[in-house]
Amino acid sequence: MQVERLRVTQFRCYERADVTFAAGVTAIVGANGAGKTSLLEAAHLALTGYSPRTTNDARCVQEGAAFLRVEAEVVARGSSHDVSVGFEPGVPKRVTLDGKSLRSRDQLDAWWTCLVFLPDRLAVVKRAPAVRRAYLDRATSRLEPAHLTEVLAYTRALTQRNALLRRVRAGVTPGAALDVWDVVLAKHGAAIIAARSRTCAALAPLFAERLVALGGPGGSTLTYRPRLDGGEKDLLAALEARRGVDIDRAVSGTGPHMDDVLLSERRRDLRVYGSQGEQRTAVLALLLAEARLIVERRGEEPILLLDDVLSELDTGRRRRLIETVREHGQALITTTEVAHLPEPPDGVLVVSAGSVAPLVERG
Amino acid sequence: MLPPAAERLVHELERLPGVGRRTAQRLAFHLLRVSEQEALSLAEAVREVRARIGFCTVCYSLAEGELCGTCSDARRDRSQICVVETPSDVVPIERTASFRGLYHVLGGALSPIDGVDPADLRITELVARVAAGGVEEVIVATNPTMTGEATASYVATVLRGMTRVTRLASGLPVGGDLEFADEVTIGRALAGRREL
Repeated sequence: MQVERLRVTQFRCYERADVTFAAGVTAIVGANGAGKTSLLEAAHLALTGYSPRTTNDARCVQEGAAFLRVEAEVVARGSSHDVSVGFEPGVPKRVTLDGKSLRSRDQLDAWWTCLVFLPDRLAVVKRAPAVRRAYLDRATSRLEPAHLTEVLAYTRALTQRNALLRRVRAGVTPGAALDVWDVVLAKHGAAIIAARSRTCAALAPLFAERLVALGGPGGSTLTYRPRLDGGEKDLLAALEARRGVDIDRAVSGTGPHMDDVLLSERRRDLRVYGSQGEQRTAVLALLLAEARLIVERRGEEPILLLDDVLSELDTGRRRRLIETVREHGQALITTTEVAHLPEPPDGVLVVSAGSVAPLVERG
Repeated sequence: MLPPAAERLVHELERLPGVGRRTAQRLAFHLLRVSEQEALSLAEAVREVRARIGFCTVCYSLAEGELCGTCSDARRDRSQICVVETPSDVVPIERTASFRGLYHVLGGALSPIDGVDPADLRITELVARVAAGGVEEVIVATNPTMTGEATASYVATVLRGMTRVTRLASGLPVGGDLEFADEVTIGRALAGRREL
């Protein structure tokens, strides 16, 4: 897929902006606070219907403005499409594709994929397992849309079971009432574990390969660490075996809600031992691995939105990153200096104080 | 703002499901505007329904008297029992006119977060009905929600070995477009596909 044009109205620092993008790598250049990330955010909002930075769309509306609007012209699966997202605080967001209003922004996911790197995505390597689970579930849903529904169902069943554990502990309900909830939990839990391990198995070799391509020393692995591996029967047996402990603590102590993913390089856990640069490279390798997987599964490359990826990387890693990104098709990359890019990009947009202009004729 | 009696009416109407403050006011003003006879006939209908309608002593759906219309109908097939969550769930099944058996209303679905345990549902009563004999099939028609499914599997467990227990199929709505169905529904429809 390719985004050819983006129009922005009353979005963050932009009163109005109208930009066209090159086919390969477009650099978005500007000083700190000039609006580089906002431009990426606007592209993400137009393509997916939501902001990668905030769940509160009202924050994206320009100060003093009543509404925002972002529109993009996209070429996907050989035909061009117009997508637009309009938002006015207090009114449901309106997403339209080729002039037709969509019931839900999720419907855009069927058309194209957008992978984004923001500096806060480093949390996937650095922070608690919950962040990696959330990432893994997002990545899995991009490959198998039904996964999201399983996760929601599992979460609801878990809340019910935990509520019941409290009631059993308090002596309000007999323990046998747990039987049905164990069955429901095991059913959805097993589906989640299976889908997550499929994703990890597909991502692992690509992750290792990308990490080497980005200048890693090799020997890196991505391993799914389920708290409990197995099918519905194993999960059910484990829940039954733990029942006593679970009642005492009034919380379900096993299942996919306690899974983790181990990212390591030369047998060192990157979460614990990785340097800033190594952790950043790992997150980028993960993103590029997913991009590769999406090309394989869906037959079309996703667009990459990369915010501030070049900082903390040495010149060698920067060069390899841009080379690898190039293989993937279109990418928008923000940077404070065009000189940070190891080779001239296919297009440069200069951002300053809420306006964007293409850089004319480079030497 | 309103005289106390009118305020009280608005307050009572507001407690009805789906009615907010504004609608309650509209309804109250309407009742004040129409003839006294018309307004009082509503009050009388409420009084009468509370005085005369109770629960059927066999299936716990709504009944005027001891037994509901279905349970007292000698032509109904007594070998089939359809288990539903609430009395209102009987209505859509009756509309199909293709079920000729009897019902059993559980009075809700299992939901620990809302404090609903098996003992709060009319499950012992269902077991007793089946144990009394003559029941060849129990069709579980609880909602296809998480609580409904949990309830269905609980009912199936307690009736195991006593009779045949079946679950309402779930799949695509008739006249619906495949394009507009969600993944879960299509997935279930695929899992429950049939030979042609």
